[in-house]
Amino acid sequence: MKVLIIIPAYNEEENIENVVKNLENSYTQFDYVVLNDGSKDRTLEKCRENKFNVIDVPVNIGLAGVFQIGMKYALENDYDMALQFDADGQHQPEYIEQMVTYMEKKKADIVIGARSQQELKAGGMRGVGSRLISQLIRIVTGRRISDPTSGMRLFNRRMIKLLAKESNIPPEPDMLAYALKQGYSIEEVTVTMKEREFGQSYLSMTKAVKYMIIQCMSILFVRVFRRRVIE
Amino acid sequence: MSMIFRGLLILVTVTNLFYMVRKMRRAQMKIEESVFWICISVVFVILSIFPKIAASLADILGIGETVNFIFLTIIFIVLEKLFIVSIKLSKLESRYEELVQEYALDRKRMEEVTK
Repeated sequence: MKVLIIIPAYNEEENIENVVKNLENSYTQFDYVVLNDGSKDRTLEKCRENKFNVIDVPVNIGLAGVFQIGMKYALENDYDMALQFDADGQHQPEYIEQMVTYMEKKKADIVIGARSQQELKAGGMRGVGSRLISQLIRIVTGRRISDPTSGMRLFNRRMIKLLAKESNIPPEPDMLAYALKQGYSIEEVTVTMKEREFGQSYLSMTKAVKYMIIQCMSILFVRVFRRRVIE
Repeated sequence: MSMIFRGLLILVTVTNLFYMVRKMRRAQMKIEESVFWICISVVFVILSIFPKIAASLADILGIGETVNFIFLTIIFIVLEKLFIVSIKLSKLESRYEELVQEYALDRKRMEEVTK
């Protein structure tokens, strides 16, 4: 199983070295690629100094954009699975093996590294948002996804092909509703995540509210907003 | 409001809604943009089915003719939307420039390396 760990990074100079070195030292069975999304700090320099496998994106295009670059890279290099992994140290690589095995066993298209209910409840506003989205997805698709906002997602080859090719499928929770409606299978594996070590998350209050509104509308009207993608 | 006019309004706003939805799906418009147009279209449909809503709102604001209220609201919304689109376009142009510059410099770097 060739697995690629996709690490989008924007201004993560404080965390990137620890995160990638950990993968290089202890998880050599997986490949990785850092996607530097036009960072204004020394993220790229740190990657070059350490000779990390990095794709330098010349202009900042946002998570969705670099995520797709990761998928295109995965497709070009014949990976069987691709994992979305945060550069800020929140995701724990110990669970990757478990997710890979589970995906093989269940033949799932997507495996989500889901936080436990306790972790989600402790998450404050973000936890509330996650639970709301969870409810909406259940209403629209009938499927219970306990942690739809988790950024730790494993995709199989079928999904890699789809995500590399289609332009309107960002790595957001509404994509899960869309995938379910299209007949793709999603499984979850319980994981734990650390708090962000350094730096700031980029979501302000107004942005968070706007994001929630858009996610909710996108999930509720998933049929309306998206056309059927023929494979 | 005559029945003919009302019927026409409903027909036009509903057709507009379907037309916009179809075009957005075909064009694969990003969800963030689509949400605005869908909401506006739905509001128009609702207002044309229940003209009393617009009439009441106009009364509350002390605007004599309901249609003036409609004009005022639509113009305001359109101006705001246009402004936001201007900003987005401006950002897009900057990033496009940045991209082209990087690409040009990158090609030069390639030339230097292969000399």
